[in-house]
Amino acid sequence: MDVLRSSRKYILTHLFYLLSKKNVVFLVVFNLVCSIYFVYISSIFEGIHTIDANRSIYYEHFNNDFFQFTKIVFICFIIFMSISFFGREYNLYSNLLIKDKRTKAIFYITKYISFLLISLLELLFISISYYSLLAILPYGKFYISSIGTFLRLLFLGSFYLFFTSFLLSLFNTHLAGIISLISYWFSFIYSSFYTSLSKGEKILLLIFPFGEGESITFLYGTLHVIIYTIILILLNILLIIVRDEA
Amino acid sequence: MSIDIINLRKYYGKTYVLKGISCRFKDYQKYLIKGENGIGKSTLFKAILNQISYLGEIKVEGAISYAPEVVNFPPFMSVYRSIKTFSTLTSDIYDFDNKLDYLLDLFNISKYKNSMLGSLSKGQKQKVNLIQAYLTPSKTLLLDEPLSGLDNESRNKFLDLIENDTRTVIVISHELTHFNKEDYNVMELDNGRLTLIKKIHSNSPILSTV
Repeated sequence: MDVLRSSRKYILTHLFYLLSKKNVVFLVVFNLVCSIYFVYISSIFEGIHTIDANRSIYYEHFNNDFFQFTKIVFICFIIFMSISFFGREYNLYSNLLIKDKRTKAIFYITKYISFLLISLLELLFISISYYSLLAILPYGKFYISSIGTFLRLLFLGSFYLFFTSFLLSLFNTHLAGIISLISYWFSFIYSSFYTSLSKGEKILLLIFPFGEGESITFLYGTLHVIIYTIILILLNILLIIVRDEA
Repeated sequence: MSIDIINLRKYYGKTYVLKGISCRFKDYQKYLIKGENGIGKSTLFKAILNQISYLGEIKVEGAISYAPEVVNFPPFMSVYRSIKTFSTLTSDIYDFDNKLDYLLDLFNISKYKNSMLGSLSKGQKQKVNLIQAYLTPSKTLLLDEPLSGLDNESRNKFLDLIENDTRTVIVISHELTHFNKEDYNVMELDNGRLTLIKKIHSNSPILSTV
């Protein structure tokens, strides 16, 4: 049987574990809260005449609130799900799937693919909510650049996925995921007053990338985040090779 | 040979669990490994399966099927789906459905074929675990405490099944009395070393380090 067919079965198995009862409840509640908030900030219940008079203000307000909210909750979603899926306590099923070096490689590659798949679906849900609201709201405008914003959000999410899983492997406890949350929170605070930051504080933002403003622009460019993510992937591989399964 | 182990060492922190094990598990033979709790029996299996890092060399010929002692099945997967998934991860099984029906019937869990794994008892899950390992196409079968949680009837049926299996079978078990020792090479893991206590088809025990 070829690797592709095996990988499909591994992905299916990972998804069965990833979509556990606890995680499904979390996903439903998370999406419900997001949906309510998106509808709330859209001012959909405002009178049409009020909106008509200030279309651009309403659009900017919605756009700003939408992406400021999304970049916080999406990254937190990635970190929380990573903690539950990549924690050592959760890796107990690896003993059913790893039988040699080849299956160990397939196991981990497909595990990350499965997680990225769920993240991608979540982002798809958020972006569909965004475009659907823009389509029905009187002030709605479609800009192609917003697709880039969602893509940058996905890059940032991938960075935090590999960063969290690296920390979990390194410290062998799911509590290590808190470091990831704190680092994101710090970069969030610091980036808001970037121009007045000291050199040392700017270095902190170099280590923990952050998307600024509603367009989620990276302070040191998208390439910086991609390079960091690649480094983290390599570090994860190294830890997977040397560490013992649960 | 099925599995060749050369100077296998494994330590956790400063504690050596396996202190230079060298042995050969031959084709078509059955091995029974005994030893006290925490002595490193499961660690030996995990090293063979590449689930842990180790020092030394392990050469494996052909595929391995494995029934772990602690098994964590996805609760929302059905019995049928899980056995099919786990036993055909790397290669397909000819006439899978009929073989599965036979084994489910043998272990009296046919009626749970479409039940979710989360609804099964510990003993029923252990039967699922053993069936998935038994069905997996392989050259070697590794069984870690296979009799744990099984009722007497199922235990005897499983032992019959294994005794008639032509693959290399390596079993870790505390319950040695249930095995027909005439069919097994009995080994003991103690103080990080593996010792052959009784060789197959031999009435007198041979004490030697393998």
